[in-house]
Amino acid sequence: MPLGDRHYGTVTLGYPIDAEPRFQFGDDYGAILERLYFHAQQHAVIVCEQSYGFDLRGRANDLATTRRSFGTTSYVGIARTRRRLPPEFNHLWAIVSCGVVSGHSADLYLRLTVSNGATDQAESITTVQPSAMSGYSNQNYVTRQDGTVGAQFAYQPRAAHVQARVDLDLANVDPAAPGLCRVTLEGYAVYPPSAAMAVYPYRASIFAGVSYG
Amino acid sequence: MPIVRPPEINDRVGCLDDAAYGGGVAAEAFVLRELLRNSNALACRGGLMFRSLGNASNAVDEVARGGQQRSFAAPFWTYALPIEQWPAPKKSGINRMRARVRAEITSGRTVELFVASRRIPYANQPGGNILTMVGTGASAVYEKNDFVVDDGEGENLTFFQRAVVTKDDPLLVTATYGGTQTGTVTNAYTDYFLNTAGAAWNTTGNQVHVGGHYVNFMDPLNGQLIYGPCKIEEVYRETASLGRGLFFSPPLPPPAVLVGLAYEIRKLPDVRILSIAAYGVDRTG
Repeated sequence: MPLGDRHYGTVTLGYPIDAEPRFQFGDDYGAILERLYFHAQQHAVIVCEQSYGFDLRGRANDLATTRRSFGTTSYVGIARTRRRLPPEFNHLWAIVSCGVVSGHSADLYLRLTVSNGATDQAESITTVQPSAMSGYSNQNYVTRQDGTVGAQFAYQPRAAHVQARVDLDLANVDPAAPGLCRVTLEGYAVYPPSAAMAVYPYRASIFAGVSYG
Repeated sequence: MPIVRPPEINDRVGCLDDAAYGGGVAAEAFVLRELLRNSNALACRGGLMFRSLGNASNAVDEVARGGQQRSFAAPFWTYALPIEQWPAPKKSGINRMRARVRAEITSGRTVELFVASRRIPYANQPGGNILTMVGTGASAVYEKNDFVVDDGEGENLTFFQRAVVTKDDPLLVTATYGGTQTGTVTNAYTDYFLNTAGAAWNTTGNQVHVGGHYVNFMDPLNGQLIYGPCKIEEVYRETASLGRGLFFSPPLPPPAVLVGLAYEIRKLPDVRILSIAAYGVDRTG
């Protein structure tokens, strides 16, 4: 799982192996155990996947047939799950695919929260500028050959498709007992400074993994 | 002579018996090999990489709302899912992916699903990673076991779809969508054409693009394909004297001239992807 500039190269892998003089193949055993430990540790797992219905015909009114949308200036739930996180994981991240309806750029706020008790213990916020994903519905402001703006068109999507990510460091979560956690992903979009913009989530995935540094 | 205890094998019990390697207990080559095999067994297992579920109750209401990830497969590559470079966890060393797709495709029509990975990115298609799906008109499962994925840690997946079009595809049903199914282009821009001979395609309700159609432009003398197939994107009401025209994509390259060519409008296959599940293929070598 790509973790940006986070690298495993500097990690001390594996449990320390006592080098007993009479321990045959001690180095080999050590290498194997390190490998197993590294293997269990490094690989990200899918914590939660949430998908909502959508159409892909590239038409504006398809937005009206998505199964979920909201336009607020406060956080609204996109995905939530309860999951037992292995203690070696110290990093959660989520990626969201959604449409944001705005004739201009808008800020998309995402919040990823984890708690293993009654109290939320960490959260993270990210802000992105929506930009159109090529090939997807974005036929706004069609200009005709005669120079008239496409006001006569039935469809004025004014929507951008965005794919955004939010990271959460679990350093503040008690490593001794992450246990059964509640993981929540929320979001909303605004046209600065404060106008609520509609968000149409299509899909969200939450992953857990290990990062150092 | 110390007793050599047999180690438990990961294949069977999913764990190691560490009591077999206690202090003061001798180890032999067999034990070491078993330990290596256990290690390999863990490392070679493919796991869940990607999963997508649509609302698949098949209730009329779901269909009407497009809750089943409904789309028309365009005659060129478009996104099958609204995601791009979606992260998929995977163990290092796994270099193949098995994907099962449950989809509902127009009977007899062929749709291709291309999975772009780091190893076979979109720019390299159609070099592989294409699942060919022939529709049955009902929900059906399509599977491919050898999608090529990068053997490094993790992957990034993008799903594209494309319709395979033929000269036997059904022509536009004018009773439903209005206008004409064939004719001669009388006026055209780079992404737009007109037939002024009264081709009144509907501008509300059942419109050509709502139903999912494509257009071919042909030499009127011999029927040779000059440009296309192009996906119909929009019905446009011109002035009263000009009638109605159709927008299409991809737009024409600059030198192409449509006026005077024959056109034909045919139906694109309907696609509803109900679910996709993808797993890393266990390494055996």
